[in-house]
Amino acid sequence: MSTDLDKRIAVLETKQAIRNIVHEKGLALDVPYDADAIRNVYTSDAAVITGSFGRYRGADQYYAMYAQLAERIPFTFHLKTNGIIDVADDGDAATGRWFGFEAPTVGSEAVIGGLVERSAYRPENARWLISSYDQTLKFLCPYADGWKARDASAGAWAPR
Amino acid sequence: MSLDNTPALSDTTKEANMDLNHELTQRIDVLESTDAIREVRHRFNELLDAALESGSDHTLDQLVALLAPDFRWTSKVHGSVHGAGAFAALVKDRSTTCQMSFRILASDLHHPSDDADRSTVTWSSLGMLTIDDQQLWAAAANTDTYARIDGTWRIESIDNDYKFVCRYEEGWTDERFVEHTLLSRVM
Repeated sequence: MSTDLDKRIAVLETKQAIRNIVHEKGLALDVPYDADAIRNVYTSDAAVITGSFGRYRGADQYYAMYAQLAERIPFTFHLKTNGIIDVADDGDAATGRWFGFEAPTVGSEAVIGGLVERSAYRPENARWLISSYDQTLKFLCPYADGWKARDASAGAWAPR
Repeated sequence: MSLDNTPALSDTTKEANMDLNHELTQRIDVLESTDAIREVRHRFNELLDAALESGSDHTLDQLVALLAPDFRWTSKVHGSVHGAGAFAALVKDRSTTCQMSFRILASDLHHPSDDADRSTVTWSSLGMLTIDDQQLWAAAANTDTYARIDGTWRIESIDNDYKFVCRYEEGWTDERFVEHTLLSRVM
């Protein structure tokens, strides 16, 4: 097969591998917050930036953050849609943008959220993983109020 | 005779290899086109949300760059808006009353086409909007057409079949659609 076809197939395979890891993370979030499973979708040095939920770098920090969320959030439902993935010319790195929608129960309160995610990806131990995750909340609000409340309560729900 | 130890390929084998290469190239093109179409529509959504929230001319220019010049936006609510410029003007107008726009897009179904440079795709979308201080759910089935123009996939048309556009506080059970004055502000 020609080098050109080989490269074009590699890009398609990379994009599918990245979609898979993004959705694998979504499933882990919906356990809810299976910190061990979530650690398997990030690189060991990944930066996780969650807006009003804080910034975390490296496996120890983001593992602790997700483990803490699991204690306070008994139910979650996440959708990841609207994905756009750009693979670098050398094929060794990629970036992505996604929309996220979530419907968790925080404590005993139903919550809905919408966010825009910007992520980066690179292979580690022969698997494409998330090397950085940066979310910008469009809204995160009690279901009873709706999104006009935006993220008024987000600070109170953040891991401590 | 070849200069190395590789046996020379017969003409029949060379022809078969060329046929296989051609077929693989076509099959890869279909996969790449499907991906490019999906991403141009996602980019459209992202920019439409941003343009509705900001009214920014720069964002509108980026949005128009994704469209074929004779782009059509149709729905029973809006009728038919013809031309990328007319569509941008409509978005600009609607941005004056839109405080928040967030729409998720899913379930893309790519219909087979004999023309490698044209495509029809159906989608399902769910919008969370705040218009005139009223928060709304807006669900629709979309039928889009796309054309590859100078090697780049662009959106030729989007038809919106709204399933419900309702007040967040009231839901879609009793009244699926809000009154026309508010409905007509929804995109």
